[in-house]
Amino acid sequence: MADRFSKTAIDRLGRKLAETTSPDAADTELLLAYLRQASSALDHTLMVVARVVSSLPAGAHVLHVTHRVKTIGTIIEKLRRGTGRLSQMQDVVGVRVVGSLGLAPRTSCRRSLQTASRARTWTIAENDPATDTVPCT
Amino acid sequence: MHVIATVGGRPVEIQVRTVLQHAWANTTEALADQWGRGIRYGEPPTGANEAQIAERAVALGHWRAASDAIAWMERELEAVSPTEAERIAALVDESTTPSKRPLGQALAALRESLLGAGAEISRSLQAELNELGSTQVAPS
Repeated sequence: MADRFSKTAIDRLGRKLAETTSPDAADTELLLAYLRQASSALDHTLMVVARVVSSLPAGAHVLHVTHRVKTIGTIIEKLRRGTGRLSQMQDVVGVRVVGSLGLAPRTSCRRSLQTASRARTWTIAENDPATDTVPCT
Repeated sequence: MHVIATVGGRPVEIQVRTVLQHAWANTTEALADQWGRGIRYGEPPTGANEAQIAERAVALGHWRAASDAIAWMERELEAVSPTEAERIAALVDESTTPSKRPLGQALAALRESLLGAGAEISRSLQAELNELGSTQVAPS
C-alpha cells in the first residue's frame, strides 16, 4: 500500500486544495491526518526550545513561548498563492519565542539551536528571509 | 530570527521575535483581517470605495516603513552599552512630570502619527501593546 503521506500524495492533495473552493471530506480528513503527524514534532521541539531559552544570557527576558499548527484556511490561502508545494511548506507547525531579546541573546539562541541540531533527529536551516513578515536581523 | 528545524523528518518553523517585532507582526495580521489578506504579501489593501482604498494604501505605506524603523531602532539600541542603558532607564524613571518624560512623549507622538496615518492601525497597535502588558499611552 502506498504511503498516504508520501511527497507525491501530499503534493497531489495540495494541488486539489488550491483548486477547490470547498475541500471534500476525504481531502479534509487526509489534511487533518497530515497535520496530526506534522504536529508530532512539536513535543521535542518545545523541549529543545525550552532548554535553549532557559540558558540565555543575563539581560534576556522571554515573555512567552507559543506554538501552533497552521489552520486549514491559512494552508489553502498559501497554496492558492502558489508559493510552493504542500510537502515543502515549512511553517505548517511553528514555535514562537517573544521577549526583550537583543542581538546577543538572539545570536546565543541561534547557536544553541545549531548545537541542538547535531542531534541526529534535529537539523536546522535558515528560512528564506523574504517570506518573513517581521523585521529580521 | 527565523529558522526551520527538521525533527524526525518533519519541518518546524521557529521564530524568535523581539516585543516590537511581535507587536508589528500581530498588528499586521489584524489589519489583514480588515484590509484583505493580500497585504501580507505586498498587495494593495481592499476597501469600500476608491477613496478608502487610497487612504488605506497611504497608511499601509507608513506602517511598512515602521517595520524598517523598528529594525533600525533595535540595531541602534544594540550599540548602547548596558551601563548606558541603565543610565537611560534611570533618567526615564526619575522623570516625574509629563513634560519631563521624553520616552512617553515620543510614544505619544508615535501614536498621534499613527492616528493620522490610520485609526485602524492605531487601535490594533494599542491592543497589541495592552496584550503585551505595556503601559497605555494617553492621547496628548
